[in-house]
Amino acid sequence: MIELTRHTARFGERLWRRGMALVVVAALYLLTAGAARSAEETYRLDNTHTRIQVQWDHLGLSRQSATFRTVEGSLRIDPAQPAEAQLDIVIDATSVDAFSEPFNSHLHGANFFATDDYPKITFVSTEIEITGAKTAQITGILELRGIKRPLRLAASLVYQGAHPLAGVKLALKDAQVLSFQAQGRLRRSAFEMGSLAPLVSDDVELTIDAEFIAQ
Amino acid sequence: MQTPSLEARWRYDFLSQGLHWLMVPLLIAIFVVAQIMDALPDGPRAFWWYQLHKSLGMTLWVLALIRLLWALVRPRLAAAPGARWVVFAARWTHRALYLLLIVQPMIGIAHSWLSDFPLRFFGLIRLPTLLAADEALAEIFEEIHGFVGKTLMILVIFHVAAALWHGLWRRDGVFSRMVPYNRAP
Repeated sequence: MIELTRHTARFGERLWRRGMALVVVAALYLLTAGAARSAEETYRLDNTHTRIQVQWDHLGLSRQSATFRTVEGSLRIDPAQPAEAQLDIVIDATSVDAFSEPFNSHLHGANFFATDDYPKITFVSTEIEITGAKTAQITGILELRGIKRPLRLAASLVYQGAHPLAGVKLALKDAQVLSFQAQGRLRRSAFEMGSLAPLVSDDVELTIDAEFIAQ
Repeated sequence: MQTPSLEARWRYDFLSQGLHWLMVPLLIAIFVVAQIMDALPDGPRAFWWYQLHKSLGMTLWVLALIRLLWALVRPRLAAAPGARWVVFAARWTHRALYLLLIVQPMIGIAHSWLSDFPLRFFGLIRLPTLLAADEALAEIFEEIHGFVGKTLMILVIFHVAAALWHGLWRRDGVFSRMVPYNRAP
C-alpha cells in the first residue's frame, strides 16, 4: 500500500514536470512565433499627396464636392497578411474646403460638421477582406459629429514598393511607399447632417486617394 | 554558494509576493469582465468588454509565465509543517493554479484566433494571428475556456479558503509568508 502511494506520488511528480515543461515550451513557442510573425510595417499617411473628397448632388443641378486639407493617418500592414492590416485616419474637420468662403463657414456650422464641438473625424478599420489581387473591402467605424457608424470602403492598391523617385532624390533613397484608392458611400443624415436632404442628396460619395510612406 | 537563511527559505521573496498580489486584482477583474461580456448582447458594447477581457488576460499570462519561471529558479521554499495530506493538497493546488493561470490565457488566445477576432493589446498593439479561423473548433475552445475558467475559480476559492484557514484558524505563519512588509513569526 505504502509502495503504491509512493509509486503514485513519483508518477505524479514526473507527470507534473513533463506537463509543465510542455506548457512552458508551448508558451515560449507562442511568444517567439508571435514575435516572428509581427513583421508588421507602419506606414504614415502623406498629407501632401492625399485627397479625401466628398461629393453630393446639388438639387439635381450639379455635382458638388469638398475636400479635407488636413489629414493624418497610419497603415500597419504585414505584406504576408494584408487582411490583418490596420488603417487609422484622423481628419481635421475644420480643414473642410469647398472652395467658397461662405459655403465653407456654412459647412463648419451647426447644421453640418459643427467643427467647434467636433473638430475631428476619425476612421478606424475593424475588418479587411481581400477581394482580389489588388483589391480589398475595408470595413471600419467612422466617427463624425461624435456619432459612430460603420463605413465600408472598396479599396484598390495602386502601388507598393520603393519610391519611384528613389533614384533621383537623395531624401527618398530608401523610401518605401504604398498608395491606394478607395471609395465609399454614406448617408449624411445618419450623422445628424441631413439638412436639406433629399433636395441636396442625402447620399454622399467618398473618394480617397492616399499615399503612405513607410516609417 | 551561500545557503539561504531560514527566513529566506520560509518567506516568499518580494518578486513572488509582488507578482502574487498584482495578479489578485487582475484575476478578479478578468472574472468580473467575463461575466459582464457574457451578459451583454453581441454588439460593439460587448466587443469592448471582450477586448478588455483579452487584454487583461494576456497581461495575466505574461505575469504568470514570469512567476512560473521565477518559481523554478528561486531557492525552493520550505514546505509549511502540517499533516501529509495538507502538504499534498497545498502543493497540488499551487501547481494546478500555476498550470491553469498559464494555460487558460493560451486557450483564450487560440479561441480568439479561431473565431477570427484579431487581438489588440489594450487597443494599441495589434498581435499577430497564428491560427486560421475555424468555427467548429472555435466552439470547442469556447467550451474549454469556460470550463477551465470555472475550474480555476473553484481552485482560487479553495486557495483563499486554505490561506484564511492558515491565517485565522491555525495561525501558523503560513499566511504571512505571502504578506509583504511582515516579519516571520
